[in-house]
Amino acid sequence: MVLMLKNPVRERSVEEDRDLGDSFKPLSSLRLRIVALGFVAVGLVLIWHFGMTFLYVAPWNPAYDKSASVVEGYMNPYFGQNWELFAPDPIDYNARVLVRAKVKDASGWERHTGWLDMTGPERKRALGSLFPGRVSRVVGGSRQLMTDADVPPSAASLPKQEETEGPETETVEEKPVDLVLQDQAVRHMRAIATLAARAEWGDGVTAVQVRISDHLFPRFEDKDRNGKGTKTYSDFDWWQPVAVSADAVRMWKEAYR
Amino acid sequence: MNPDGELSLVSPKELLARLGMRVRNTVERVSGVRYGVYGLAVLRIGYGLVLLGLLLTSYFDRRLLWGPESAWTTDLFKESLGQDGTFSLFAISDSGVWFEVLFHAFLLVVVVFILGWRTRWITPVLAVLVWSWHQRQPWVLDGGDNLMQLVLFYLVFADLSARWSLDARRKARRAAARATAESAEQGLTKQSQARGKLEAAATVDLPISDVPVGLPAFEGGLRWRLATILHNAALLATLLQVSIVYFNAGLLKVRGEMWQQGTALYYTLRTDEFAPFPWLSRLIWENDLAVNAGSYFAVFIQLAFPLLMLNRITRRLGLVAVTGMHVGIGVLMGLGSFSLIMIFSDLLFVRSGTYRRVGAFARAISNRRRNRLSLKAPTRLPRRVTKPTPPTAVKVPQQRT
Repeated sequence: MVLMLKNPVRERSVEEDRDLGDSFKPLSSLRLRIVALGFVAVGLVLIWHFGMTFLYVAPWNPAYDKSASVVEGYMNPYFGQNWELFAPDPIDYNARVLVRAKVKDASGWERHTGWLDMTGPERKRALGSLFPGRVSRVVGGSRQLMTDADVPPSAASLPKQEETEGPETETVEEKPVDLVLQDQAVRHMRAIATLAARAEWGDGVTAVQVRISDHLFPRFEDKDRNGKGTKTYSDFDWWQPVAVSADAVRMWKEAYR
Repeated sequence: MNPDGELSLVSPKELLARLGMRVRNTVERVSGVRYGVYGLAVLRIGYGLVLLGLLLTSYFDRRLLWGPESAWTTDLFKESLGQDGTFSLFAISDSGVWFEVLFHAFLLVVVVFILGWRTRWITPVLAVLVWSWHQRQPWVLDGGDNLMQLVLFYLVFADLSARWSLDARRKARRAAARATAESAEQGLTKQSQARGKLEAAATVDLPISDVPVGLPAFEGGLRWRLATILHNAALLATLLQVSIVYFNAGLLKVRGEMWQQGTALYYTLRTDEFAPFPWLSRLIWENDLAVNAGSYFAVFIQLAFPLLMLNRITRRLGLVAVTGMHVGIGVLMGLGSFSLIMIFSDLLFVRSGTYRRVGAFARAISNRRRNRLSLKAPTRLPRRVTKPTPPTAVKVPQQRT
């Protein structure tokens, strides 16, 4: 026994503690106090941190509502997290992102191209692979951002609202429109559309337009009726292409070839 | 109750003394034993390999994703950093040269992290690099990336290289050398003899995984004690974080109609975004029973995860179940990196004792094979190769986690 203990109570309990071997050197009284203080301090930090984390990630609740600014201030940006993995409901449509362009040829003649599917090459890259590389998420990620930011489609492409009889339904704005995020979502998609258009149609591209088409596939209960589901799409405004380097266009071509 | 099981009246003073003892023992233990060192070694190697995989599978697209040619343009990148009030090493310079240097340094750090070399310094560097990298293109990330980032922040405070690492090998060698020198100098006192035996055994005869955990008698200084408290806190933080991920993922799902009806799996598997093998997905989403069972199973296991972890038997069941779920997600939905990150995080719930047994088993098998292949093999092969007996002179603390 290395232990030299005066206090019989102490001796007994350390022996009982089979986690600690014979070679274990207990702490001196002063050191014990310092270590205990550290233990308590670290414990309090853990309680605080995970209390905040829980409020931050939980569905909306009154406790969060009361202390939202504290929670958000503490958690963002370094502890930011989101566990809405396919919740509350999973995605139930296939989204495709298409681009077309106005292209000026050498004689100055401008033509409209047809639609080019930008999602297809991404899907092709991911097909049959569990580790497809993140380049297979660029267009999809940008599409998600456009959706999350509620970027309004061009007015011209909006499907005509059916005239509804009866009392007017009030449109309730649930979340405030984040104009900064919308702007960033558009700029991101603009860069992607420019790269894809330049890779396809060359340097003469003078404007690009993006279409997001959603194919809502049949509901679970209709799946055996060989239904085709419903397709909708929204077109965004014509955008000026952004300045991209020839290198970037070449890399895009290689990545999605 | 006294130790004999009889009820007896205990004076308040005695009661207080016992309570004090309990507290004291707890403090001794959490500052004297580093828990979960095997699980953390597995996590270190696992996370490292996933990061390496992510970087290498995108190696030829690196500039398009994270470099100056990114569609998340330099302007957007810097603007968004400013909004979030954070930093990224990739923002230091817009030049392609800086990007290439940083990207390759990142690769190198990941490799060093896997090997476990100077891990105490490499882990914070890696955490900062991963953060910087995520900021550069935030729209190609998933929940796995998010979890790994958080866990890396916590584990800056943990000892990730106590096992299966270059650090551990170096430490064991140094200890053995010291012990030899000491015993030569002072003659062999009983204690140093025992200690030398233990440490030499740890280096020479026994594979590194058998070095006993904690070694409090050898490293019992105040700094080491406080570091041990941080280590155990970081481990606990990771376990809590993983539990929060599952519980909240479950909690958010039960509010959704499709998960309530048990049809969510149908929609998830029918999207072409998450279908590397569409024929395989179709096989499942066309089967009503599989869709229902799978959907409910996913919600149940996620909600129940933290509770399942509390008991020895349910913990095993729970870990097998979530691992199965992640293999399913990984293969059916093509979310390989996400699934691996989750699995490596979950493996932290496996106790060191289990890892040691698995290690011993693996060694026994490889020893047997080596004996068979060896030219000097004994004419009669031993029927059972047992694990080398650890030195008995020094009792080593039993690992519990």
